[in-house]
Amino acid sequence: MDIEIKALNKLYRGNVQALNNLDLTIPNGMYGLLGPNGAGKTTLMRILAGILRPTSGSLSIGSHNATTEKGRTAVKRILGYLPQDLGVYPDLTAYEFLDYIGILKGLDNRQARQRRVNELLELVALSDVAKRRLKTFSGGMKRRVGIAQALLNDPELLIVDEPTAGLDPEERIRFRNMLADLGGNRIVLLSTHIVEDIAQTCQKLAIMQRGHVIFQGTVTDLVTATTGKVWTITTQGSKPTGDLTVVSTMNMGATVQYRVVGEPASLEHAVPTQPGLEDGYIWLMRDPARAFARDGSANLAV
Amino acid sequence: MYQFSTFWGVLRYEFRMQIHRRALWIPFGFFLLVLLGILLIAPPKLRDELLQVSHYPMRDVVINWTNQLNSVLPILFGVLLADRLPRDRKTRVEELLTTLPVPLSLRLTGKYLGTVLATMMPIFLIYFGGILYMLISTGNFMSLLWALAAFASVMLPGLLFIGAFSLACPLFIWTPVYQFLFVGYWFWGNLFPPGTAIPTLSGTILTPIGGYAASAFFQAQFLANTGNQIPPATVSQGISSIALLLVISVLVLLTLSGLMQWRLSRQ
Repeated sequence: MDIEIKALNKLYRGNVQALNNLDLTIPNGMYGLLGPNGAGKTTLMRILAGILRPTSGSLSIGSHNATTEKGRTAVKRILGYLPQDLGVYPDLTAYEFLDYIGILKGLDNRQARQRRVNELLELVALSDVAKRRLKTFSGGMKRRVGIAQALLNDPELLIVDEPTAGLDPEERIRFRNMLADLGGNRIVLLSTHIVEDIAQTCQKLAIMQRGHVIFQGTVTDLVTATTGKVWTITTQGSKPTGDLTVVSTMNMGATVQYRVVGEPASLEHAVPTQPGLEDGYIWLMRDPARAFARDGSANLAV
Repeated sequence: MYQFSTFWGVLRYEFRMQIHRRALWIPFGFFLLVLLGILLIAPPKLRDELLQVSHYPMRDVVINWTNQLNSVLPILFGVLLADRLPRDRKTRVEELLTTLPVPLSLRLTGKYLGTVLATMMPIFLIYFGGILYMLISTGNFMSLLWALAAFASVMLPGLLFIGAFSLACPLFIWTPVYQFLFVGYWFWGNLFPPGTAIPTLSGTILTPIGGYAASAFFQAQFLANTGNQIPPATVSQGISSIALLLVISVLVLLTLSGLMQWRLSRQ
């Protein structure tokens, strides 16, 4: 199953253009959607989940035309959605909440539903606290309940919006691994502004900025395009100059080591460094058009 | 089959969530304490008079008790139902619910019946507690039959009517404002004596307090606690009053579903 998005626009009241002629193809497997806050990621997720209606454009999910009411209803049957800010009924237990959502997803065989709820509680390591009310759960535990509810109907399309925001490092790693395990025979669309989450879980990704897709391709494409643009510069303390962005600063005592992306004014103390996805992202965000001027290998959509 | 099991599931969970609310039981518990306090403190003769157990035929005693409760308890009922839909937004569950394949109308109907039944439970318990007292005092089993008939014809249609408005209106009006307006409406439209300078719905066929049904089926002449005379009603007027309340309830729910659907389509 693929998702085909063509010339998609979303105009909010007050003439706020959240999506601007967006074109994107999302194949099966884990797919990352990266971009700064306000890039339009959540709007796109909400349109895909049937919460928002696009202003114009076409959107097909598998064989369903998701711009029609009929298509949206069909998509909802194969959809698992974990919103950025998952709401729960605080007085229900984890088991009851999942059971209720299961009912609403149409799992009408009681025994099969109970079995599925128990399986998922096991999967997200919440079996021990299944009978505890959700109001006593931490943010990470609620997020795990969220992924469990999204998986209840064994969805062909799983949309997770900023799933690791606000989680501690251990919870974040656990969550990432869980998502990576799920990306077998379905589309798992992971939207985030945390580059590390994509780097650890997705082979393919799209990067959004101001309602556009400015890059779609593989992580390797993006990293390759940044080769020769990442430097480590060690100075006595003065900041490196040139057409560059400082990615990190490490105080080494007598000297300061900078990791930069771009073109330093002087290469005297600059050592070329192997780029990572974060470097590629920074390089792209600096100037999307120039980022691929000498390298057409990636599918660039500006 | 899928639709019914989904509807039943929604009803069950909405009932469960409402019935477990402490805020549901506290006001009704307070009302019961006040009522019991009056009955316990009052000398036996006065207590007997309050409940009218040994002075009147059982039908009149039961309908008097029904009217007594029905003049006050629906206020709590309406107020306590008013937060059910705004709560979905407040807890941010609404976004998730929107992504689920269940039809909105089905979810709303289940929510309506589940929450209405749960909020009705304390009223039902207080009401039948009083009936039990009558049964024990008199040994007259007719009290139970009269009570079931009075509850179904006088109290239930009004509660269903109030339930529909209390579910629907707070989606468009801030809940505390709706609750304030609802209490005002209750006194103005049900308990305010008709025929004064201020026009009122009191004493008309469109009153959820159930005056017409009480008069038509039980020959009640006065609304308890107010002394308002109930116009003598025929059986067909009683049925019309019940039918009108039920039809309006259904219309309110259909309008609510349509408006929510329209809102979604504009997002």
